[in-house]
Amino acid sequence: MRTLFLFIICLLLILFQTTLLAGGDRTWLYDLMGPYAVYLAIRQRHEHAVPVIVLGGIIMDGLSGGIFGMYLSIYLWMYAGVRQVIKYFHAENILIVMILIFLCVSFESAAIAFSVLVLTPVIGPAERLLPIVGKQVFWGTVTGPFLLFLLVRCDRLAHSMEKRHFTDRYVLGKR
Amino acid sequence: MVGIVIALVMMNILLLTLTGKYSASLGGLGRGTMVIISPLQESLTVFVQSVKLIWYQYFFLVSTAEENRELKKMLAESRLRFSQYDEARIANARLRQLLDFEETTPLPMIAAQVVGKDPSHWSKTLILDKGTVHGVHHGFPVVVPDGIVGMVIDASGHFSKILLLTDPNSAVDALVQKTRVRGIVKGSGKNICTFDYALRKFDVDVGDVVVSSGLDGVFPKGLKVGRISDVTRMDAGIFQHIEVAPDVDFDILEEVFIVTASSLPEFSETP
Repeated sequence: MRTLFLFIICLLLILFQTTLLAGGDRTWLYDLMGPYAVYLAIRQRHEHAVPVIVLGGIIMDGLSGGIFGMYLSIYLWMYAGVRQVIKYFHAENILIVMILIFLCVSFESAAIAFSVLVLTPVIGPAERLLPIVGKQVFWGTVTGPFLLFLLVRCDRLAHSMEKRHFTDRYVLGKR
Repeated sequence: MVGIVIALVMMNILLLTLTGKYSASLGGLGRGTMVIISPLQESLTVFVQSVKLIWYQYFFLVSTAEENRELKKMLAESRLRFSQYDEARIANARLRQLLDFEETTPLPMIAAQVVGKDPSHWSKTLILDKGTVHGVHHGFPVVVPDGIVGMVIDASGHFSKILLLTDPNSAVDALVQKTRVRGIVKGSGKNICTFDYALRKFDVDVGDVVVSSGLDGVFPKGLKVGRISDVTRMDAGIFQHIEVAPDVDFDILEEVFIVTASSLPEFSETP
């Protein structure tokens, strides 16, 4: 049930960024799945988060024109990295969350830019990609925590609804 | 621990290199994703367009009508009618242009609607609402009246993915229409392409029209690619650096044509 809920959120994020946000010269547009991977790593258990990360990665790879497996790899590495970091730091701290999102968006933008640079020699000098990566990292760091906050609120809401639903069923069953 | 991480990173890079080289073997997985996600993208796009239409044509006018009900009501009606006429006129012109293009083109084509765009800024692809059941297959050229849009790189039952002309992996064998100078138009990731391998000795000017040569076996001869926007002749080297601005506005593409012919006849070149 929880995995399904998380997958639906993942799907909504992907649909949102591939239909409503995509297009035009929006070079600042970063991948919303980056903050979502951070959210999954710090707030969810492995058995719920990993299938969502894998499915999300496959969907993004299927929709993107890049190398198949690129997004999947990036999400899995981000997830594993954040899980390692929160072993040593308090994951509820907003500063830590911001740093994690900054690192994840930076990692993703840099990894995809690097793959583009390696695979397509006509893209030009690497310096040309830096402003784009910079913009994505900036917007990711600024807006990512808000997205994460929104996801946490959604999660709490879903959790309380789920709890109420099962409590009602239990009480009715007793009667 | 560090050793394991390094080994995993190396393995990951190796796998990505292999999937990059042999992407066809994973095409099924990508197509599967398209089969599931693209209908949702299509529904969302249609829904958002409907909401936009309602918002701009109804709610916006209703909210302004509150200030001066009678006057605004009349104004709203006129505006609504005008907006509908205007929208109909624009749609009429666009569809007429598409229809003329389809009728004057000697190729079998099917119209398709754009339902999704590439999630990444780095690659330029679009998802269309036509797939293999409509006769669309890998390698089919995609065009609009303004010129070449790109080519189909993947197709599932009802949807297909196209690589735009501006993608860094795109290339079209082309000619400068006036002087017949041949070269390869390559995407640069921006809305400008490069025209490579044009020898320095040939005369090429800004504003010259570039058309497809038909020699790549993908795009029919004579399709418009764009206009030359910049020419640089360096002191060294045998080629000149030429930039081509495509006539197609890739940011606002809504409908396109997929050329479904296996053999590609020539287009009549129009300056």
